[in-house]
Amino acid sequence: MRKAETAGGVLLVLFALVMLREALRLPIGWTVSGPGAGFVPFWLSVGVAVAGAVILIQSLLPAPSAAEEAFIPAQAWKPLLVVFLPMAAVIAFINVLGIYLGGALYLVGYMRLVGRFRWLSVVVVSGLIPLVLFFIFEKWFLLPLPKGVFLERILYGR
Amino acid sequence: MLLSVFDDLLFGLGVALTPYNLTVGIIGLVLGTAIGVLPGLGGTNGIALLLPLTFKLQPASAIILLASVYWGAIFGGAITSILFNIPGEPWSVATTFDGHPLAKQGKPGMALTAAFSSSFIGAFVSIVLFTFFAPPLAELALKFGPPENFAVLILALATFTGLGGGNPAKTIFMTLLGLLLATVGFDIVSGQPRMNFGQVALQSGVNFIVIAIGLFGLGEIFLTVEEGLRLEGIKGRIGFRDLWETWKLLPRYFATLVRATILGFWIGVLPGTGATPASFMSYGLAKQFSKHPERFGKGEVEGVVAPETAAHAAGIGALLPMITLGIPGSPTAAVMLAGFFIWGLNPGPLLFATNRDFVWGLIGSMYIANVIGVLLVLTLVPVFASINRIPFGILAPLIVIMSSIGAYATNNQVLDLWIMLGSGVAGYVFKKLDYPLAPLVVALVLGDMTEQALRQSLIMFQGNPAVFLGRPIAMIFLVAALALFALPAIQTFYRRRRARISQPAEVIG
Amino acid sequence: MASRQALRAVAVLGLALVFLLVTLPATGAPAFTPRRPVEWTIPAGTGGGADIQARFMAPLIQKYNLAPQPFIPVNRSAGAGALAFSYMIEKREDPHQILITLDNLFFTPLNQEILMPDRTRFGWRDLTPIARLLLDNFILWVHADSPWRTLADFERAVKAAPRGAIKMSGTGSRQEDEIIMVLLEQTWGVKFTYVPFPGGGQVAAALVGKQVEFTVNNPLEAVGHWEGGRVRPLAIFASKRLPDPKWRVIPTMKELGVNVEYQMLRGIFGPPNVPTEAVAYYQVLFRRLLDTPDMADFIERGGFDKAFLAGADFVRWLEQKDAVVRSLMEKAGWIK
Repeated sequence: MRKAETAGGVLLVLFALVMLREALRLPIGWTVSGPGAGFVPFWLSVGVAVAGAVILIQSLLPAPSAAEEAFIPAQAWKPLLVVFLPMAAVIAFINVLGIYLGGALYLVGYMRLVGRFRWLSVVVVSGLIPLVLFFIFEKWFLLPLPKGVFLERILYGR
Repeated sequence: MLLSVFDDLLFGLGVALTPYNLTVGIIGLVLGTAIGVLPGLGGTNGIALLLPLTFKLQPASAIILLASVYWGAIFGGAITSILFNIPGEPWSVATTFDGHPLAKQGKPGMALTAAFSSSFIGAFVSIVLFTFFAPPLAELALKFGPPENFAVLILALATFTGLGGGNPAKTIFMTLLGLLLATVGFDIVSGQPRMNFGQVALQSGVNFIVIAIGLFGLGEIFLTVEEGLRLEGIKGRIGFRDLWETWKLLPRYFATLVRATILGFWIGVLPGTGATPASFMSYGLAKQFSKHPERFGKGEVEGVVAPETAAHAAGIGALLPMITLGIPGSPTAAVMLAGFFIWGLNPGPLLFATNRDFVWGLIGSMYIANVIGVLLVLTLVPVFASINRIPFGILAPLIVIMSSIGAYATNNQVLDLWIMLGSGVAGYVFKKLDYPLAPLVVALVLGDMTEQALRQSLIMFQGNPAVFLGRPIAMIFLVAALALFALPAIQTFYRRRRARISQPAEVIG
Repeated sequence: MASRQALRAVAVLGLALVFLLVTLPATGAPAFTPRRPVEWTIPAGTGGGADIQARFMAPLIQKYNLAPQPFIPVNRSAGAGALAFSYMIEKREDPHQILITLDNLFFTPLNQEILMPDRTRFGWRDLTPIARLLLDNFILWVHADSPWRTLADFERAVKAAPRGAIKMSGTGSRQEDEIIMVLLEQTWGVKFTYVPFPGGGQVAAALVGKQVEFTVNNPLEAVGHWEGGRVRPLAIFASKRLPDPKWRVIPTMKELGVNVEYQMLRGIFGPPNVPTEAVAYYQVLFRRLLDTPDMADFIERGGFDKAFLAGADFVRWLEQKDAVVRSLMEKAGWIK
């Protein structure tokens, strides 16, 4: 846990420094009409860096309770990745899959691999939900969501 | 004067109660509730999408439809916040803080009932205020320029200073991080992109609803699956018994209800703020004033009551400057205002005289629609509550899909999906390391507005901050904010003293 | 009232005739019709002028059955339109995407570098011009309680005031509102203070609430306040007075001896390299749309100039407009 605290502190300070560099590209001074565009971002980055550093130092100081437990329990890695990786994959290929097909695949994968549902319920649920969503968003509310190349071709030809 | 208001109100109720307008209102409520539930469709978005449909309606029916959608969306926004920790609407982010813990403890019915009932109370009192005091309140609202808005926003931020609880360094860190993320995007004062790392897509800024969906919604999923892949849903008690039990609790929160209503209504009336800051401020104040602030964030009913009351009160308030002055009090009202032009009306004070059925029909329909609305959602409480019984194996991917749609639809860009996923991971890690999430989100939503108001003020004062002293209204709020900032320190001081005095007793006890 | 109805009847009849004339000779069906909903990007937020206009026109297209598919307005307001433009760049050659413009089409690409896929700098010429529909006007408004009844009163007061003491609220920064202010400053040799707000509604509210001394709001943004007796128009920044009787009372800047003129483009553009058949299709569609009675009413109430222009004439007009914007921005010292 303490290692995770330290690592987190380091990451946060680094993040603050990246933001600080970005802020330095702007006018950070006080102009005739008040603070420049970079004034607030600059001082906030400094503040975040300082606060992050304090957290980092706290994590390095000896703590009264030395209870050492793993930040992510060993048995938790698998379920976490099962949720995370497919999601990242669907987002990465969203332009190809679209939100509907991507969603359907995600449902199939999750229900089958994690939920261990029967194939029949898997197919019914993961077919029905994207279909309902499609009608709600695309047809009734006319809210265009990414449809992906396959659905585009089916719907509008080309 | 007063008599004529009653006269107008009766007339307005008559307009709203014609079978046609009543039907339109109910359709609006149902649609609005659905829009509130679906994270991608905000009230603002939903009303913009429905606007074209109102072309064929009479102006009075059209505004009744849109306003009913708005009320429905405010009621509906609480549902996903409570059940899945996914805010359906920006103003229901604060509802997740205590609403979702309640649902996890098997009391979704109680949380939903508290949300809907208090939302209704806030709305109803606000409508009465609206009916009788609209014109003078509008005049008062006009006195609020950028300096006053800045002061109000600082006060809103101040209400959240004590919210961290745990490690103060982490609370301060998260607040500053939220404020810093709020600067990403486009600087309206200089007309230049900033802090966007050269990415055009980042110019829309880090949207707080995307962050909230990630931090709270996805973060919650990660935390849940970590404890082993739970497959079954939450077994909560379901039935109408929750209604009575929750209602019995409500009188206890009388002070909170009053405070939240007045605060929400007034923040709503101010142009350029809206329901979202109102809900956060109300939550913050409720915690500050509570005798058990430590219970907040762990499933305190009052933590649901406060933001919901304020959000709905602000929703009503936002329509006041729209009707009386033609100035939108919130983004949603801005879209409705676009409708005025479509229906052939010019918004402004003349509407009261020239379009009596429109103005009073709207006011009448607020009474009707909110009564029908609350009855509708309350009868559906058992249905909503039973959603949590859906096996987690279906619910989890469904939540993920709905979150993605919500994140995408806020700005219509894929980048937000990555931001959502990233905040999901961050939410998980922060939660495990005991970083408080609420200050981050509050700072993110208020930061942008606060900086803008500050810089507008300074431009108006030609860079001289001392001119704030010449704005009495702004000064009152700034002093109140200072007091709130100082409050946690004062409280700790007193508590320590009291602890020192009562120490011997503790040793014995 | 009766005469107004009669007028409307005549208008409808006349329109029906126009329709007949337009549709009769159209023997060859257009080579392009939308096969899917047309996405209509608005490079500004909800509730602003461009937004109101697009949301007003989109349902009219369905009402008058001008297209077989719906037109769906989508706001892409971030970065003063930058996001909308880069979205259009991404949708190159797609005939089902259109853009309604305001003058940030000219200002934003000069204020910030938006890149094309080949790393060249984006400008309006990269989009496909379809048509100019309307010209939006700017009016100098002061508060109704102010002592300034005429432009001359205002000019005198401004010249007597210390530099920067007179404040103006406007939409965005380094966009049309601010450029008009700079034009006034240079003409009168004075200095104002510019307070930027995100939208026209808030700009007007700042004036009504006496936070600032004047605005140059579009007619549509301030008409309600005018009717409510809270603001007073002093002059319009157009070359001639508006035809509608309500607006005609407002004199132009020019006739009052102030040589400042500005109008804003409300036009339609497509993404880069849209097929010419699609361009022709949208030109016909929007021309018909402009001639509907609903649009006539909208134009009258909103104080617009109906100004349909397409093809080479439109491009020529755009070039002129671009030259004007560039020289104004140079004069203001915003670009070199």
